[in-house]
Amino acid sequence: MKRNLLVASLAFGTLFSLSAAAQTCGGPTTWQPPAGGSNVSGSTCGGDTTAAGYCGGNLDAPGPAYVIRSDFAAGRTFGTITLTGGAGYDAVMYISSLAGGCGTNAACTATGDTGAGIPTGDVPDGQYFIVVTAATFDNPASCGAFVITSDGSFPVTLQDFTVS
Amino acid sequence: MNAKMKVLALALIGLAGYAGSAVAGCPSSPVPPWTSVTALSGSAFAIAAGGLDGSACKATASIGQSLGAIASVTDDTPNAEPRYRFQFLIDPDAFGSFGGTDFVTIFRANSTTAANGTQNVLTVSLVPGPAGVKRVRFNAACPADANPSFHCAVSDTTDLPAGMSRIEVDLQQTTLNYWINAASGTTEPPATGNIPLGSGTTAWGGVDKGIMGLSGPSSAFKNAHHDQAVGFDTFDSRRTTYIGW
Repeated sequence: MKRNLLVASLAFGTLFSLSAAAQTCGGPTTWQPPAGGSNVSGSTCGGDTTAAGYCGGNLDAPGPAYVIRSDFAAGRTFGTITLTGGAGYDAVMYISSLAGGCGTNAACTATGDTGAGIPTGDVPDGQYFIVVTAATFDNPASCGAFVITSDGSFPVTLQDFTVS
Repeated sequence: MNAKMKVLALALIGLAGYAGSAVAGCPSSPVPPWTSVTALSGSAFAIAAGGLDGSACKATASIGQSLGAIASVTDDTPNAEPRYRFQFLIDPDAFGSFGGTDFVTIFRANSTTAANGTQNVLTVSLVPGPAGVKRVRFNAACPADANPSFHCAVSDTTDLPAGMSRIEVDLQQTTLNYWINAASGTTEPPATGNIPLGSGTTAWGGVDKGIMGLSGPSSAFKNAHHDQAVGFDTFDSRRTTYIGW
């Protein structure tokens, strides 16, 4: 019997944190925290500058963005996604549906900042972009370091399973 | 000729039209006539009894304690408008005194297309004046010949009185005129203030969306004024004629 577990994000099961250069709409970081949670650390500097606004035009996009792709499904264990931000900007995070596109000023499903995390109840099951960027009132090109943390899984989802 | 935008008249019916309603209760949602409502990060946008203009109902908005908090309604009926006039009422008394770094957006007009990194062609904000009073700031997109930052802004020096204030704006491609608590009448009086917009804002393609409510709070504001519900009422928008009251 052969079992092929083709799990796009399975690798994350053995990695509890990610650190990478700023990711863009064209190449977002995939983040599927395992049951114990994990974080993504990086910098928004040099990140995506596609957006001309966020959350259906309610907020401006003064600085570059670090773009994350995540799926949320039943069985999730996370309670809250939290954010810490470095110097040089006021870090915020916006979650919007994958179907709405990236950098398109699509409506937001949830938002948060360094003092207010995003609770699990604010994010229905689905496919999303998570954007970390500068607050609407920040100066043009404002950017900096951040760490975004989940205290549980989204969860890691099984993409394919074959028994032969 | 009353060149009022027919489609936007729906918004007036929505928030001012309740005054003439024989129905005792207020609608449970601002949609319709508004296109959509946004409430994020513990924020709320609702309809409540007691209109600001003596009508039956008003809208209330409060934001949660987050820089990403939004409590707003959006009108998507404008269609690349080269000239956009609007008026609304706000009663910000529930915020109490403003600290020196308090500010929050109360209205946004967004454009058809992005230019210089933004689709936002106008942000109207509450900002602090002396001794805790509140004032209004108008920040419009403009070309580099008007300001290299692509933003042309004025913080009006009028202290908002207690209770309701009436704000009206005439956003054209080369100038912005605004009125704060203009005297009663439908003949256009001299503007309270003006912002020249240089050679014009044609690069943005005109106003395509109006957003009324609370968003974009400063850190100080969201910490000091979260969950404080303020009133909005009587939104109206037109293409050319003064609105007045």
